[in-house]
Amino acid sequence: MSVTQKMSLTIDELTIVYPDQLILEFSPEEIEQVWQELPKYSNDAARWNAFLNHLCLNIMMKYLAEDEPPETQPQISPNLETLNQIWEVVNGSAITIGETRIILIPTEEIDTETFAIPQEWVDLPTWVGDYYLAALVEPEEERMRIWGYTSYQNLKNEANYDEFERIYYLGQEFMTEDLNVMWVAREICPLPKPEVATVGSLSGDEATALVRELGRSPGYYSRLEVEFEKWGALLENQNLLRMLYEERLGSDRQTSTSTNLLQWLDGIFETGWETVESILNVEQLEISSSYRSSENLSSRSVRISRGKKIDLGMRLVEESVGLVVSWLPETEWETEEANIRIQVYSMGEKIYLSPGIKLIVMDEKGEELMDVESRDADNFIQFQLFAERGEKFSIAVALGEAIITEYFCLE
Amino acid sequence: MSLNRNIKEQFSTFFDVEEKLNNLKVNNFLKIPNLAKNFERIYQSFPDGTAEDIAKIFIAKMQKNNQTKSDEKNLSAYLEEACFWVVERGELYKQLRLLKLNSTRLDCFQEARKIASQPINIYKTYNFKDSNPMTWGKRQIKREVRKIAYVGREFRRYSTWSVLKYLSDKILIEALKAKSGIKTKKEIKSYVLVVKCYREIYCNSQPKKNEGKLPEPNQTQWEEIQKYYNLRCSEYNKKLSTDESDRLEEITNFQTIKEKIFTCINAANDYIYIDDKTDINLLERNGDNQTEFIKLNHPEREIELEETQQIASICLDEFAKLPLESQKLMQLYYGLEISQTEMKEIFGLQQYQISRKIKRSEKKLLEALGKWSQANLEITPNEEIIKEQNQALKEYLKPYFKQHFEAALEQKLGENNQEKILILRLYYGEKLKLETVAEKLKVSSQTITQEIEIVKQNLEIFLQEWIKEKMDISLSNSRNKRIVSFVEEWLKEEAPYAIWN
Repeated sequence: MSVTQKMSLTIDELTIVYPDQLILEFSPEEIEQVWQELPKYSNDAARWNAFLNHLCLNIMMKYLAEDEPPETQPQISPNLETLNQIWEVVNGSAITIGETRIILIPTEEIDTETFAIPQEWVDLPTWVGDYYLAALVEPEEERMRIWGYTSYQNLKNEANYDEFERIYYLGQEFMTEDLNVMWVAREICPLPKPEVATVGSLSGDEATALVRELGRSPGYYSRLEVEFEKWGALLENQNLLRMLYEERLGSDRQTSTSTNLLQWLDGIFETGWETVESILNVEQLEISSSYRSSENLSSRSVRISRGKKIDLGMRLVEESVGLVVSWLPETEWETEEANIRIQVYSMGEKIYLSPGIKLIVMDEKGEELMDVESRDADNFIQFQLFAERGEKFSIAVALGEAIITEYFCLE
Repeated sequence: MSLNRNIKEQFSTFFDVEEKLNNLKVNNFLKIPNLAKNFERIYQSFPDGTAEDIAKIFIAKMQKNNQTKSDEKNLSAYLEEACFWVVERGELYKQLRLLKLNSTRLDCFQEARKIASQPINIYKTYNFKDSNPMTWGKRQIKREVRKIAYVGREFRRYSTWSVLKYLSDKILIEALKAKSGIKTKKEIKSYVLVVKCYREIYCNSQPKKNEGKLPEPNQTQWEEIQKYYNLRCSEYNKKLSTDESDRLEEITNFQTIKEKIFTCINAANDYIYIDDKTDINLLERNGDNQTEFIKLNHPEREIELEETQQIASICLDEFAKLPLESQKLMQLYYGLEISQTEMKEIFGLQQYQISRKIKRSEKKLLEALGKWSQANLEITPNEEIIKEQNQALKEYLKPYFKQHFEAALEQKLGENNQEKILILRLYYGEKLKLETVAEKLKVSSQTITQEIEIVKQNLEIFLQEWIKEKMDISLSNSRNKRIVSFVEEWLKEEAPYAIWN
């Protein structure tokens, strides 16, 4: 056969080639909007992955929501913020409609021979879906095509698992092109819910180490670097996922993502850093000032102090602490160095910190320099450190599996 | 349906086909003696079996990986008819034309035959219950031919350095095996891994707009790909447990990466653009020359009559319950094949809304069909069954919605005088050449052309007005493309000239 034109097919012609598939067009404005809304990523491949996923998700949501009553409106699962972080390391997103969970995996491969599903979406209990949709996204043609779907059961029965890539490959002959089959089957012969064995959990130390290790691996490689059990345990915990995302951005450590303490002296504060009074309650303010006087430092002694709410909340337990960072006066003999104090207070009604909260200081490379842990009835935990102009460091606050890292610089 | 092959011939002969006057014609059956022998062996055990039964036996062997090369060829022979009919009576040829592929019917038949030469791919998921092997085969062949034509066409858009981004690993591996001479599992693994790294480090890291074009990577980029490859390589080697010989070697020079990528690009291009007119070598012509001319007078029946009636009664009820707008959308989409783009204007909706409304209507019909068979046929529905029902439903919908418009045309044309109808019957019905018609009627060819043109235009105007009156829909005023081709096709394929005789 010979081909005379290089132009791509119109959407109408494509409908003739693939009469059973769902073909959707989108506008340049919709593409632009996705670019606008993308958060930061550690590398270009991840950014592209996020772009494709977000675009695909938007178009599919718009399509699914049309004319649907509220009870069957599609929902992004778990939420866009978490997906944004997932896209740093894994391809795919999830939508729920009622009880049904649908996983959407975009690709740019136009031959649609095999459907490649990252293992995370299949073997993690909170990630697994009832159905998996294969979406060919062609941003330049301003269209996408759901070229087929598979149920979880069919995927498990027929797909080949590639251990090295951690991907399930399903041949197109095992896919169903027309989504109507899925919608109708879901109503008249619903499949049992997938049962996936739980993955283990990580100890606080393990989690910290893992986040730091994977925070530096290149490209998508982080998903393959450690055994799936551990990787899965990390992803299943939204807090750890957020930390990994932040850590990976941090490894590129742009000034925009770290707090520049030098600017504080000029009265410039990054968002999230508020006055200590607005963060801490009255009792804690008293404790903090009595502490100061007990150290014989007059009120003049703190040059600047700012605090930030840190959410260590796990799935069920609410646990917020206040991270307070203060410039202390420079010592006379070391004027080149900044004298910084880091404190962690409990927040809200509580006067005492929960025991087991860790405060860790790390250097630019993420090497741990020192740490301190709260015991019973500690009002706060703290460090004091000296930093030179141009130096970078980070602070982690951890409780159990939850770790929040904050990056600082003096530039 | 039959091309008059007996059961033995159905599994052991191929067609000698040519294209005459825009139709495929089977001149001969070409016998392959060893296929006949292989068939006999099976048939002996099932002397009462129909062709369908025998096909199922071959398929079952194949699904258990028990088949011989001859078994596969027996099935390919069986599928000759499927290949023939999808081109001759089905829509495949028309669809390929629309893809702007300059193919003849014969090309199209050869493409279908290529697919049929791998029956293992066609019947891998066949379930023996819900459709007969011939219907199933036809569906798979149609789908594959369209897809291959499409993919081959689309790949031309991409420049050298971006081609690999749009290729699945499966096709890449097939291409390497077929076109590069690289054979060992280990080597293939290495090439595929190089491509993966190339995609991730280079292709996906480009500025947003590249219009399918990428420049050649620069040295730094090549080196980055090399570095990433070596990292993945060592990880791969770590996972190998026993066989040390499978270990992938590190690549120490970025030129090696570049060469490997180049090999892949070439293999992919050769594999996908293959301009292969060579007939698959199954036609070993044998001595005895049967020059039997096969007359093609058995229209194909895709769906069993009983099933059609079932679908009809259920769908009609359900269709009437749809919102009026959805009903119109379905009629235009299936009946006249009005495109979604045109419908955007007609209904003042966006493409995704049109698409959604059509899909929803189809879903309602499918759901009704599913529920009906659950209640009345005492079958427990599953996805496989629903999938089959969906296919049958879709194959039913097109002719069903077409017939309204056709009935209108039929009535209108019947009002014409006998002389005009005679012209049409000779020209379209009997497919005579223009000059022959002119000679028969003792008028000039020019007159015939004019007469036909007048009839066509009148029918087009009539149909457009009829749609306006009955459906309250105005199609674009100047000669609507779809109306024109609908009238043309009807005159050519469907008009019942016999009843005006």
